[in-house]
Amino acid sequence: MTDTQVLSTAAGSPAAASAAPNPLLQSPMLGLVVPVALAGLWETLFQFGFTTGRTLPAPSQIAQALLTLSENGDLARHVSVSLMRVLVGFLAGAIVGSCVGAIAGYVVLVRRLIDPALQGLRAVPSIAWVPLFILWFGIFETSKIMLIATGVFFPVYLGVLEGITAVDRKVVEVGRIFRLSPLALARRVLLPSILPSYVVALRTGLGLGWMFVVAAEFMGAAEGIGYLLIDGQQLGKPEQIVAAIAVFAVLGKATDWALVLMTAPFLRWQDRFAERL
Amino acid sequence: MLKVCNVSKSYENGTEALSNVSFSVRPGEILAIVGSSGCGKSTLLRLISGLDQASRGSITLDNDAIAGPHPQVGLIFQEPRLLPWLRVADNVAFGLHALPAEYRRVRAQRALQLVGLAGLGSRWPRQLSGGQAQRVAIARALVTEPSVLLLDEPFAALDAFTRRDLQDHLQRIWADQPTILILVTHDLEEAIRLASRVFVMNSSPGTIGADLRVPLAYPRDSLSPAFEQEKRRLHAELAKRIDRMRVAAQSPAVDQTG
Repeated sequence: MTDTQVLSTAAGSPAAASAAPNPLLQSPMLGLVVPVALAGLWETLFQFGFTTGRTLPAPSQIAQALLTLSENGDLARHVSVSLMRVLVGFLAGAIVGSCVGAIAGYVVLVRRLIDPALQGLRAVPSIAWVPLFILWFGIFETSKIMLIATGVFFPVYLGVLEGITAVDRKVVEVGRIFRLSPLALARRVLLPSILPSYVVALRTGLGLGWMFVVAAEFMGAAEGIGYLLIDGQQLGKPEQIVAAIAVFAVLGKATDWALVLMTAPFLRWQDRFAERL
Repeated sequence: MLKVCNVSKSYENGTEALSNVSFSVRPGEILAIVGSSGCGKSTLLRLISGLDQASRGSITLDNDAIAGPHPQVGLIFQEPRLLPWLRVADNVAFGLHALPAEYRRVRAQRALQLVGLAGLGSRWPRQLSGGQAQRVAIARALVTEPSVLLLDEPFAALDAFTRRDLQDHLQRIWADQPTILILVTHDLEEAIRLASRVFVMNSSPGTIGADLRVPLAYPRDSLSPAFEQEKRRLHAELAKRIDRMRVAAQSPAVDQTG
């Protein structure tokens, strides 16, 4: 009796939700509900003295840390330095990754020659590169940007390569039957077919760029959000560490969102499952 | 005239898909190739289209050897194979890459009109029904005005009504510009509706088992007694010549459900 009731409500509710979509449940703000609720809970516990906030600082302490940092312009400087490193490293890594991936995808011999070695290098953890890059490129910007570019290179390379090798033979045949030249085939058939997976590869690359910027800034930087992390650790300021982590989260999400917005016009033709939800 | 001379095709694993196939088709003929699946009829079509190369023998169009995709040979696949990132009109104009944009647009529009989809040029392929998508594919093949049009089971995936409709459409288009039409199908009724000549293929290795004429005037009415009679004659003919073949056992009733 109770079981059937539970079953019928469980089966009935998704149907009811899709029949009359609640505008509140459609809002992109929905993603804020869980983090805001958790932060509110933690803040309440802190205010009533259940926690000192010494190991995990309360939201108000973090806000205070951010405020102090931004008052003297430090935060803006650290953010712009890290952002610049990621952007330059991302561009370099994405351009080289796209070119190498495209050549390896297009020319089977090149793929057989370089892909196994690159797959091996891809497995090397980011931190492992640091000593070598410092030795090669010094301790200043070049080594940092090279490290970030290395991190971005691999997912972009892999995405382009996989995209090209996975292009449907049937679509290529359409190009062949209309006698497209190899160049026209690449431009009019291969490029549009790989675009969706290419965008995913770029997004993964950008995410890795943000990961590698921390590794890069750990290896001795006087500026940047990674520096804020180290600084907070050495001076025993947990609120600064969490503040830096929060800034990373916001910047990572914002740049990813910008990338999605920039590429959206090229992918308007896609018949996506998510759009129908 | 399209000439197929002693063509054989074997694959690397040693299977022989086609063995010593020879025939010629004159402009204005509609040739239907029927046979059970795996008999090599699609292989034959791919060889004529130039997408694949014959292992032995030659294929020529007006004494011009077909060694690769040929500007005068169009191919319509079993699936529409529209490019999802191009709007319908751009899909139709895909083969006109060497021409100025304005000219391409006019030609594409005319081809869409021909298949009865004049108003859908600005749609995306995903917004089309299966029958509409296949019409667009037909328009895309027609737009370059090939003198040989190859169709590889083009209506197999469509429902009976849409299939009938497209068959009629294809026949009318063909009547306006008498070219060579080669249609691969497993549906004998479709072959009799459209073709002036029917090849029945034997399998492993693929050979032409029978070359039958269909002496009916166009447009053909599949409900007329003459059509019914012709169908019975061909069925009998098939049963007599190649009673081992599955296609002979396939009754029209089975065709309609499939």
